[in-house]
Amino acid sequence: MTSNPNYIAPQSASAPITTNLRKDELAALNTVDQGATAQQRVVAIGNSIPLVFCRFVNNVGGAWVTPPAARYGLQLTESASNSFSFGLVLSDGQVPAVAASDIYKGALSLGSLISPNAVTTFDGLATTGFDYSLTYTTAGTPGTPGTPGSFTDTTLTASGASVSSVFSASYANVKSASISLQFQGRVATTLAYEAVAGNATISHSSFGVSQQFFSVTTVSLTVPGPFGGTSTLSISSGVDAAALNPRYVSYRVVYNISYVTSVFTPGTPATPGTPGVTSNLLLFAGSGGSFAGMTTLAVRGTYAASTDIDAVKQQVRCFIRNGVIVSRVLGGTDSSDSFPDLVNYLLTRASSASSSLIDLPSLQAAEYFTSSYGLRFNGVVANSVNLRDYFSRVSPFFLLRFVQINGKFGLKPVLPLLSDYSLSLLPIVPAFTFNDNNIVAGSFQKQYISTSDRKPFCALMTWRSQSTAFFGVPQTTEVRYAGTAVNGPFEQYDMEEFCTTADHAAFVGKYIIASRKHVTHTVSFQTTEFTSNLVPTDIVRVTWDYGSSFALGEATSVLYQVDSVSEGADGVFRVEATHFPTTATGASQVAFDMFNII
Amino acid sequence: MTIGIATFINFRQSNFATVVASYQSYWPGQLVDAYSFYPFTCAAIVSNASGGQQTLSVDMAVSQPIVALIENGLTNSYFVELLFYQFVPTPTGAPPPSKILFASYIGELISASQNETTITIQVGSSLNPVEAQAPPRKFTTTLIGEPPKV
Repeated sequence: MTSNPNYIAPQSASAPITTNLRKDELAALNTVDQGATAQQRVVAIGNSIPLVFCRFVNNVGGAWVTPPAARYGLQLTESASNSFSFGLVLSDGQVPAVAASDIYKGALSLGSLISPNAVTTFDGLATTGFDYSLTYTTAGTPGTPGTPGSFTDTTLTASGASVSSVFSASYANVKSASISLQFQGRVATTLAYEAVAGNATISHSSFGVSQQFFSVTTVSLTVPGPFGGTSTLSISSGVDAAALNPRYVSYRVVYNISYVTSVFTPGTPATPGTPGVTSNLLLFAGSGGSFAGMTTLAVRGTYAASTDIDAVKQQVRCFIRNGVIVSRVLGGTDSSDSFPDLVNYLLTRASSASSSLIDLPSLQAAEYFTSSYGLRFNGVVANSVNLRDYFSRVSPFFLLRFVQINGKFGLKPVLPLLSDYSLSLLPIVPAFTFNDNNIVAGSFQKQYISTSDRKPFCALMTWRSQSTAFFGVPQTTEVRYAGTAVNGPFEQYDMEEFCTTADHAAFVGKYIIASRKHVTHTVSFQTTEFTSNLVPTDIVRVTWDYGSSFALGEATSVLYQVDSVSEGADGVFRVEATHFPTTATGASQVAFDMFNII
Repeated sequence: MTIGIATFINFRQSNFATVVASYQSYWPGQLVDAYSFYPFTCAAIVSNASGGQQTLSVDMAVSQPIVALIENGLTNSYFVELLFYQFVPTPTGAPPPSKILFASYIGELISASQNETTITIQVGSSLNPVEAQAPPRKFTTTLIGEPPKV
């Protein structure tokens, strides 16, 4: 018994809970959201620089990230608003600018804060306008307001008559006065006074206020404000008084005066408060560094004074619509959600592999294939892993195999394609046919796959559901043959790292359960036949004659998919291949089930 | 019918275009298609769908020029190209007018070891467990300075 080499490994059983995770594995776990209100995390020397690889197309894709801070500035105050400035490392490589509307702080949009700002920088970190200091300002002592002065009023009255043309008196603290004046003339014939018309002027010496009055008139003279000291009210005879009718032998002024004196009591002056004292927090905000070759995001904002101080420290998270800019296998440079583009980027950047060691045509074909079925990569590569292992593990989730052909690395589809890069449902034409004549005698081996691997099961395909407003959460799509494995067994396949659509997850799930159902065995053999063009994933036919004295004319003819070809200087080829089940018409049984049965 | 299999090897500079040395191991003392003779053998080339072989080893007879070539190649990241040809041997033992390339392998010269008679080189890619990690870079003091302490 053996295992199907084409199996996509399900998620293994959980290891015992341990704190001995590798340092960068722990960091990788924090790269995805742990909750909207977690505290802002900081970078740690030795951790992997995350690589954001995604592209938002037709409202699908993109990736949420919770970038670590390389600069951590907080300006906390006891009585006023609290501010923060974080310098975050977004991704290795160059990422296009992140819009402020795609940035969140805790449960709030960055735009809802006071004075928000965000600057994306490649090869550096923005500092202008961002205060990467850690300070705390005390409330200080508030000042006391002064009290105004007040008047105590006393109303005094006087009256009398005078022949004098001038009435003069001194009053202290006059607030207002009301004066009634009347001219009276002494008529020569009767020697009686009678009221006559005339003009006179009343004036207030302290203010220079004067008002002319006419005849029997009550004139109010209002003092405009409190004052102290002594002033004089005077009444002159006026111009017209001097021109009295000659029949009057004399005149006098009858007056009634009412005035208010007021004693002003000064108020108390305001006293100034003492300002708050600013001191540095006994923390370190980070310093130095070139930030070469990476994209940073400087973010700042201010919270209202009433906001919980813990909110200031909450994690910044952002939705990246377009990830790192790469050279695309189909040409040009841009952000990409193509797995072949990721392979090409990591091969050249992570391993510095020469382009001579990369099978570009195979990557281009893989890109056409994955594009036609919407198999896209939108995620963050954060967990440090060997590149070869990573490609081998992830490729099947794009229905690809990471292969090495003649020393060159490439990607090949797991199922035959048509010329338009769609999965073939036509009869398969094998690349080569092996038989008793070209297989080295005694080298043929056939291994049946364990029955435990072929039992019906339900594939739980985990993918990441997200939107531009809400960070990703795992979702599971169940894939099974109708009526089978309703109550299990279940096998979980984790695509959450890069898959954002249910269709992608289901498509891969169909391949998994179909291949597990129909693939029954593997073979290996040696041949001296010339097979230089044979490459992994090619389909070959093996015709084997069982003929013997008691099994006359018995032969089988089965298609296989090549897993490995070994070419030695001894001229012997060693081929390992896996059963490739076909329909009655010779088409791929797995592909048929994917499109017609499951 | 007798079939002959000859192995050819090219050492190329890191730009891949410039060939530094070329050898064949089948026809002693002869120059075949600009490949001079040098005794060497190599392991099988494996093409597979599980990430590929890690390395391929080539055993070469020790000589001063070869040792110098390999030491230089290790320093300057030479590429090594192996070519397997199949042909029908001629009655005279001379190189045939035509031969068929049936396998090839391109890799980087990544390590070597030597004893009294043989120098063995390992040809592979830098896609091996130590150098090739994804993501490719780590946070270093040079890159991010002294990190925050909060």
